[in-house]
Amino acid sequence: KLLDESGVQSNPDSRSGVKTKPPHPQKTCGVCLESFHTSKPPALGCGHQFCQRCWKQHIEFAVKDGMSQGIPCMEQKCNLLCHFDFVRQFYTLPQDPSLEAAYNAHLFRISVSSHYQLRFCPGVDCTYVIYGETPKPRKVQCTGCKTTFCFDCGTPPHIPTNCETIKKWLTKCADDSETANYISANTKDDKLPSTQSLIRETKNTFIPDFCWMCMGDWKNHGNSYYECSRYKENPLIASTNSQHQAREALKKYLFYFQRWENHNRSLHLEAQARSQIQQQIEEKVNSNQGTWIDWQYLLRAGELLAKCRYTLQYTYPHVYYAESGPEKTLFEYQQAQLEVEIEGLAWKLEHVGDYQRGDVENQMDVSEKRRQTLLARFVTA
Amino acid sequence: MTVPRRITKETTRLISEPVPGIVAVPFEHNARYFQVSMCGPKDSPFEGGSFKLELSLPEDYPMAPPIVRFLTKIYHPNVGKMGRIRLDILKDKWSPALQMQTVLLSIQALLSAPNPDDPLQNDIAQIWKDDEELAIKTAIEWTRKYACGD
Repeated sequence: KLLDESGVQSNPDSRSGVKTKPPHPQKTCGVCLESFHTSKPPALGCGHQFCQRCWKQHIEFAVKDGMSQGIPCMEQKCNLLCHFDFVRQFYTLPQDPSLEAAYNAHLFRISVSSHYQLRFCPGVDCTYVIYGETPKPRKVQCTGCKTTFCFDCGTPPHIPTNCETIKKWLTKCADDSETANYISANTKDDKLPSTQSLIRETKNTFIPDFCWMCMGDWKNHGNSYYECSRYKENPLIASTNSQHQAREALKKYLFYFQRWENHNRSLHLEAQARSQIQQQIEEKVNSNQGTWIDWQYLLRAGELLAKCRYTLQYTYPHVYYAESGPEKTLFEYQQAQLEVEIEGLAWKLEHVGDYQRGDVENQMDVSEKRRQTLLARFVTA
Repeated sequence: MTVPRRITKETTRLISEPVPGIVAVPFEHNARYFQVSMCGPKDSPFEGGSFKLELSLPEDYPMAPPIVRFLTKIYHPNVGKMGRIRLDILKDKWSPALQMQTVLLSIQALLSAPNPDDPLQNDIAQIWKDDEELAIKTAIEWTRKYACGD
C-alpha cells in the first residue's frame, strides 16, 4: 500500500500476473480512442494499457511541462509513476536525444531536491549541489559562487533566529515596511527633528556625543548600562483599550524594525568603508608607514565588524518573537553587550589614526567573544 | 489545421449520446471550442438554472487538460469572479484518459457539492462555512437572477 501511495511499482512478479490476462487481439486505447493490435501493449505495474504513440506523447508532454513530481500513469486516479526503464524505451526508439537530455535533467533535479542531505545552491546561475551530513539549519557556503545560505531553508543565514521565525519576520517586513515608511513620513516624532536640526545647525561647534539609536546622550550609555537594544514594554498595556494595544504593538514592531534596518544600512556603509581601507593601506605602505603585512589587521577588523553586525542584525527578529522570561532577559543582555562592543569597534575603525593596533585587536577579540557567547546556545542546539 | 481523431470521436459521441442536463456544441469554425449549457443539478441551490460555459481544447489535448469557464454568473465558492473553476482534474489531477464528458459531469457534481475548504473565492467560502443557510439563499437568488433569463 505504501508503495502504491508513493507511486512506486511494487514487486515485478505481481505485474506479470496482471499482464498474463489473455491479450485481446484488438483493443481500444483509452486516450486516442483508436484500436491497436499488439500482444503486449506498454503498461506499468498497474496494468493500464495504452498505445505506444499515446505513451510517447504523454511522456514528451510531461517532460516539456516541467515534470514536477515524475510522470504518472495515464489512467485517471492511478498514482503509479513511470520508472526510468519504462520511459527510456520511448526515447530510444526512435532516437530522441533532446527528450532524453531533458528527462535526465528533470530526474536529476527531482532526486536532488527530494534528498534530505542535498541542496541546490540558491546563488544566481549556480549549478552546485551542497551536501550536508545532517539536515539542520546552519550556515553553509557554496564553494563555487561563495553564496552563503541556511542549509535548511535556503535563505540567507539567520542564526540566532530560527527558520520559521525569520520567514515570519521577513514576510511581516515586506507587508509592514510601507506602513513604517508612511508613519515616519507623515507623523511627527518629537525627538527626531530637533536632534537632527541640532546636528545640522551645530556642524562647526561642539556637540555632545549622542547615541545614534535612541538619540539620547551617550553619557548614559556606559558599558554596564546599555539598554538601547531592549524594548521596554508598557506594563499597564493589558488593561488599556484595543486601540492603545494596537498602537503599542506597532510601536514595538517599529522599534525592532528600525534597529534591524539600521544595522542593515550600516552593513552597506561599512562594506564601502572596507574598500577604502584597502586604499588607505596602500597609501600608508607607499609613504613608508609600516609594511603591507603590518596593516592587514585593519582588513581583518573590517571583516569581523561585518560578521558581528550581521549576527546582531539577525538577533532582533528573534527577540521580537521571543516570549518574555529569564531566557529572553539573558539574551537581551548578551545582545546589548555585543552591540556595545560592535559600536566600539566601528568607532575605532573609523578613527584609525587615534588608536593603536593593540586597541583595535583587543576590541576585535572582545567583540568576537561576545558574539560566540551569544550564539553558543544556538549552535549546539 | 487537422483535428486529431480523438476530438472528432468525442464530439460525435457528445452529440449522439448526450448526458442528461448537459449540451455541448462545437463552434462552426473551430472544432476545439465548445459552447456548453448545463442544467443546475436537482436538490441544489442551482436547480432550475441553465448555466452557460465555454470549453476549449488546447493544442496538447488530451495530454493537457481542457480549459473550462463559466459564462453565467454563479454564486459558488469554487468558481471565480471571471468564471474560472477550481477543480483538481482540471489541473494537477488531469489524466489523458479523462474526456470532455467526464469533465463536464465533474463540474455538474461540483455544483451539487461545493467545497468551501478549497475555495477560489474566500469571502463566499467563509459565508458558506459560517452561515450555510444564507449562502444557499444567495445562491438561489443568483440562479434566479442570472441563470433563468430565457
